[in-house]
Amino acid sequence: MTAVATEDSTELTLLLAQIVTGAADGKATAWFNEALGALATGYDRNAFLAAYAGADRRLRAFDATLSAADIKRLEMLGTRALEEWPLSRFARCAFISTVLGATPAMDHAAILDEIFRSGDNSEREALLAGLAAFPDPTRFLETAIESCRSNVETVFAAIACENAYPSLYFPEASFNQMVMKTVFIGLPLARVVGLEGRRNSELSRMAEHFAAEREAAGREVPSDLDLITANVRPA
Amino acid sequence: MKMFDPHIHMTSRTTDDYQAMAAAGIAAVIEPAFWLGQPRTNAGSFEDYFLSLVGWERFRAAQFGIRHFCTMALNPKEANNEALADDVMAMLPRFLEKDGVVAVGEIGYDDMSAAEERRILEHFELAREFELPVLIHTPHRDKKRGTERTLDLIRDAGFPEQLTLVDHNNEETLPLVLATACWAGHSIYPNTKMSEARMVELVKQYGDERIIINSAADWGVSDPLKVPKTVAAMQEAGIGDESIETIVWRNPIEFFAQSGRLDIDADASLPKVDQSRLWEGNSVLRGQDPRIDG
Ligand SMILES: [Zn+2]
Repeated sequence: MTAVATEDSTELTLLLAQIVTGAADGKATAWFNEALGALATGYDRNAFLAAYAGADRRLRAFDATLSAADIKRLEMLGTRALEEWPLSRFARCAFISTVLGATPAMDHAAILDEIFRSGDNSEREALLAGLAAFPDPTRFLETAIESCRSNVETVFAAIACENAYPSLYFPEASFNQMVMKTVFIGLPLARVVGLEGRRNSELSRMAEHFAAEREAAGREVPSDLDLITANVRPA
Repeated sequence: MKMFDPHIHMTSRTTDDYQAMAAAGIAAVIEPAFWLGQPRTNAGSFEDYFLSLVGWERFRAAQFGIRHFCTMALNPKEANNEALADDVMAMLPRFLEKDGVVAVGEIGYDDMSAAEERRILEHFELAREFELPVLIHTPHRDKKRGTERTLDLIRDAGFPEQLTLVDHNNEETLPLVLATACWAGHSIYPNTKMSEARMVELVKQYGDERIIINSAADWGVSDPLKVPKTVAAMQEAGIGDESIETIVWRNPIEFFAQSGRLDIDADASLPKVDQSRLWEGNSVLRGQDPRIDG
């Protein structure tokens, strides 16, 4: 699966906004449209962070309904779990996308990093889940790698699982650490997008050592570990 | 018996506590932002603390099948550091937007200083703006006078009494609070604020209307199982289960549900612990032996 980052963020914003307004009731839609419109006309840090934070409780009552065409068009998001996205996540990604269109490119990495640092769990997860879709995604690498250090499993899973970003942009050492943490905390490796294409000899060495350590301790070795230990393709 | 501990500082507690609380039937908690025992020297310390209340602590609780909510405020003691207090007050609106924040609190008097009073009034304004109830701490020293002044201030400010929970009551302050439309909290705390036996007597005398109990457990000598222990004491004293459940489940839910953010159905059966279920829209797929109650 490939994620195709948009040239500019307008198309992405429109797609996401359609999903939000198609699911929310009149009151929530009015709130969303007003917030989105204000963000498009100029960046106000406090208004942005407030709208971003408030999306969950304003949209919690509604579920996104996605057509096959929607899912196809949203492939650019680089996620495999769109059906599990709460509606607030579409709204939050629309807000980010809008702000990126309304601010100078040199500020973008700092804006996204602040969302991560100042967000609660679900705010952090929304940012990470949409990360591959925003223009020039390698700019956000530092935030993405930092997010892998989270001890909140849902936050870690938002970058490590069902997300194309790490396999597309992580350097090898960071990718390997992320994959080993996935194994370590017991998440299935099948959830790591693009794992097959990023296998490497250092990762299989780490996995073999992990298996040996588990065996020595008399503990179970996860059955999916052979996805990274055996038959590593030649580089 | 479904139980809610609506005032407990889990940041200061261990996973053993979480485990024991879940086993004793505590299904939900509220963690008010408070004093950490030693002064904070810069606003960034508050920011990190507030973030952990809506992030890390919420996740820790979920691992034990306990729903975690919080309240946000500048606490009374630290209201007296004027420069720091300004920075924290400016930070609060951003946190009051967040999803798991179900009240402004805990606020109130400590030394009963003018600075404390000014901040209480500012918090009332924030509560109005964000349509949230408030949780008010009453002072340890000169408690009766402090409670009277608190109730006067609520009335004079015109803040809705039904949106106000006045906490840490005792035999002398409870009748004052019940004479208003405010809700009355009781912290069952070893040796000091209120004991199980004294609480039983208060319930016998005043009934269950607008009565709430909590452990207020924190970093001091305190007990996170005081809510279930008080339930046992009430049962032993012959208070009916219907009334007990009103005090430890329906009342806190009814009060904090006024925030519109407490997504717990008071009539739902006790939430089953399923660590593999969806939390906040994300599956918490527990690697290590997910615990799924049948
Ligand atoms: Zn407290």
